[in-house]
Order: sequence, then structure tokens, then C-alpha cells
Amino acid sequence: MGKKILCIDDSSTIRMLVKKTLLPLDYEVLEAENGKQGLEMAINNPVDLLLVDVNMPVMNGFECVAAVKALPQYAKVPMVFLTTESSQEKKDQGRQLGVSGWIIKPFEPDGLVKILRMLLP
Amino acid sequence: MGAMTLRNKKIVLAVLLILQLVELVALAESLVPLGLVVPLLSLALLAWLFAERHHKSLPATVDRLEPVVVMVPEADEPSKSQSDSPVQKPEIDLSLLMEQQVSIHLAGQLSRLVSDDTEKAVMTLSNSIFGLLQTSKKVSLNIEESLKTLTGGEAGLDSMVQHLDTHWQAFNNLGQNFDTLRQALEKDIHVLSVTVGAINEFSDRISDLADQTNVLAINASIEAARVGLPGRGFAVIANQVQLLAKNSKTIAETMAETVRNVVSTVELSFQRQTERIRTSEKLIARSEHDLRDWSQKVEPQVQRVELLVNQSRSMAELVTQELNSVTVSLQFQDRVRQMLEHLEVLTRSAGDDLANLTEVPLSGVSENVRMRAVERASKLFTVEQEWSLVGGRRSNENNGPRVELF
Ligand SMILES: [Mg+2]
Repeated sequence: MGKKILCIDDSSTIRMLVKKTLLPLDYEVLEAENGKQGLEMAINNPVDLLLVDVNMPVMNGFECVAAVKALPQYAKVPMVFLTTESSQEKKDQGRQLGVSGWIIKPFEPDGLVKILRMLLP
Repeated sequence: MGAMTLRNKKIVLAVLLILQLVELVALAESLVPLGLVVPLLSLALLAWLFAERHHKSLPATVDRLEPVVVMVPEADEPSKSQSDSPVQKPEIDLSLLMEQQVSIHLAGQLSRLVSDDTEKAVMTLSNSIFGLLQTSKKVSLNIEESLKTLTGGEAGLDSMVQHLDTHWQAFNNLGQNFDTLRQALEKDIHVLSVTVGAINEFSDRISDLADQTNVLAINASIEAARVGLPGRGFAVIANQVQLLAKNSKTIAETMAETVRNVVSTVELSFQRQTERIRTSEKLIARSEHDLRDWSQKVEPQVQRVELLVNQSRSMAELVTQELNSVTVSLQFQDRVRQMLEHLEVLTRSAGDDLANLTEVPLSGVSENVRMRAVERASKLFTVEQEWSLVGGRRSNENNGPRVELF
């Protein structure tokens, strides 16, 4: 059965591109348009991996990841930031939250798929 | 011009931010052009006109941009009292400000128009591109499958080549067997003719012996007649011996005759068998040659099919690679859209500030002033959709066919 990915991004275009990239590869993609909505979705639908934007309205990616990581059922679930942010400072901030990876936008479908396959063998 | 009020500074700051954003959008657009440059330039010009008319000392403000950004939120409240001061107000040409209010509103609408169009274009493009990718993958898989069916399986080209090789080998063995058989038969014929020669020789010698016995018997009967009565008994024996010799000769001759008949029949039969074997050998040799020929002809076909499969696979990979760069381009487009959205928000807030300054809401601006702003803006318009923002002077809808020959 396909693995469940939760894509949290305020850009509908990014969400659609992620979905279009992953659907043919038998991944199931859930969407949320900000950190708060993402957190609620993660609580209500157990997923195998989170793909999170950093800059979002309502609740940003860092706050969202910290909140999801605090849930015991998500302690070992891999999370990856997918963001336009590329500074070392931000990356370090992400690493301290315990995420598995950092993809800088614009992403290439091949690169995204490679990372997901590594994290979800 | 006297010292700027904080409220004025805030508007200048907003305009500067808008200008910077426009520059950024134009830059991003130049990376991935989708025909949005013209409306963006219009937008930039509108904003520039607004800024130029409003504050001639604009460049000097640029250096102080950052401190202002920090200062404005804190100074928001006091600014109200300052802008209300009776010293500042008479310096401002209110109708000009209201004209800018309309212009900035138009600029916001233009941003919205472009960002909506960009979003639609990106969605449509993504759907088409990913649809194409799926189709290309399917086509490539179908080709691969068809070619695999053609080459693999029971009736495939691969097993056909193997069958041909096996059959060719069998025919080769059969040919060799027939050759051995023919050689054995020829050896037998030789042995038979040697034996028949020996039998003929024996019967000739028996015949000679019979002849000599006959002569002896004749002589003995002559001698017996000469002796007279006492030799009569001997004469009887001589007659018997003569009869025996005759019989022996007849038997020898009959035997030789019989052997000759049998041998000629057997020899004829051997010759026919040899002839048949030769014909069979020729047929086998031809079949063997044909089989080898076919096998050699089919083999390059199999190789060509394998080549086609590889080509089809690498073409599908190429399409996937192209998709990577298209996806990246689409994200650049999305950046442009996001920046335009922000531009719209900024222009709206600048418009609100202007409305506060003039104390006239957009809806309260006189038709005369509105028309002045619209006229100035529409001088820049080059795209049909832009006119729809100012009352649709030109419309693209239901104007007949899109392509027409005169
Ligand atoms: Mg974002």
C-alpha cells in the first residue's frame, strides 16, 4: 500500500506539483495550507512523512514541526522542510528541531523522489 | 517642500517597497518569461508616476529606508496628530492625491489580474505537462511490452532462433547418419560382388571338373568295349560316371545362373537404395542450409528489437528529465505570483493610507479625477485584459473567429 505524505505549504501550486510528482509513484498525498491546519491533519490522519514549508501564514513551518514532533506517535516519523530558505542559520534551526532533511525550492521532482525513497524504504 | 509628516513618510515607504517588489518580480520574470513583462512594466510605471509626483526628494529617502521600516509601527499613533496639523495640509494638492488613490487602486487590480492569470496558467500548464508525462510513460511501456512479446515467450523471436538452431543441428546429424548409411551400403555391395566372383569361379571349376570326368568316362567305356565281355561291367560304371559328370555340370551351371540372377536383383536394389539415400542427403542439406539462413536472418531482427526497447526507455527518461526543468520553471512562476499577491496587499494598504490622507474613500473620488487617472493609466495599456480593469473599453469576447483570412 502507498505511503502517506502530508504536504504543508501555503502555495497551492507547490502542493499540486508535489502531488503530481508523487501520485504516479503510489504515494498518497494529503495537503494542508498552513502549519495549524497541518498539525490538525497530522493528529487526525497518521502519515508516514511530513513535507513542510517554512514561511506560512497562521503558523510557520518551524512551529508546526515542533508541535508535531512533540506528539508521541510522530517521534520517529521523518520530516523534511521544502522551502525557499537557504541560509545556514535557518537550516541549523531546522536541524535542531530534529527534521531529516532540507530541500530548497524550486525542487526537482527527481531529487524529491530520491529523498523520499531514502527516508521511506 | 517642508519636512515630511510621518504619514507621508509611510506612504513614500510603501511606494518604495512596491517599486522594489516590482523590480524583483520583473527580475524573476526575466528568468522564466511567460509574457507577463508588459503588464508588470505598466504596473511599475504607475507606481513610479505616483512616487514621482508625490515626492521629488525620493532618492534621498532610499538611504533611510531601513530606519523608517523600524520606526513606522512605533510612530503610528503620534503620526495621526502630526498629519492633522494645520501647517501640513494646505501644501497637498488633494485632487492630485485622489488621482493617485485611483492609480494605486488600478495598480493593485493589475497585480491581482496578473497573479490570477499566472496561477491559472501554472495550473493548466502543470496539468498538461504531467498529463503528457503520463502519456509518454504509457507509450514507452506499451512499446517495451509489445517488443518483449515479440521477442520473448513461446512464439517469440528469441525462441524461434533457438528452435531454428536446434532443428538445423538435428538436420545436420541426420545428414551425417545418411552419409554413414550410404557408405555401409556401398561396402556391402562390394563384399557381395567379391563373394559372387568367388562363387562363379567355383562353379566354373566344377564345370571344368565335370568336363574332365566326362572325357575320362568316355575313354573308360571305349576301353571296356575293347576288352569285350569281361569289360561289360566296367562299361556300365563308365556310363554312370559320364551321367554323373553331365549332371554335375548342369547343377554347376544352374547354380551359377541362379547366383547371377540373385546378384543382379540385389545389385539393382542396392543401387536404388543408394540413389534414394543420395536424394535424401541432398534434401537434408538444402533444409539445413535454409534453416541456417533463416536463423541468421532472424538474429539481427532480435538485436534491432532490443535496440528499440532501449531507445524507447531512454526517451521516457529524457521526458522525465525535461519534466524536472519544467517543474522548476513552474515554481519560479509561482514565486512571481506570490510576489504579485504581496504587491497587491501593499498597494491596497498604500491606497488606504492615501484615503486617510485625503479623507475621501475611493468611492468618493469625483468622476473627473477618476477619469484623469484612468486616462493616464490606459495610455500604458497594451494588453486587452488591462482595459477590462477601467471599464472594458476594448473587449475580446464574442468578436468572431480568433483566426480569420481576409
Ligand atoms: Mg510559503
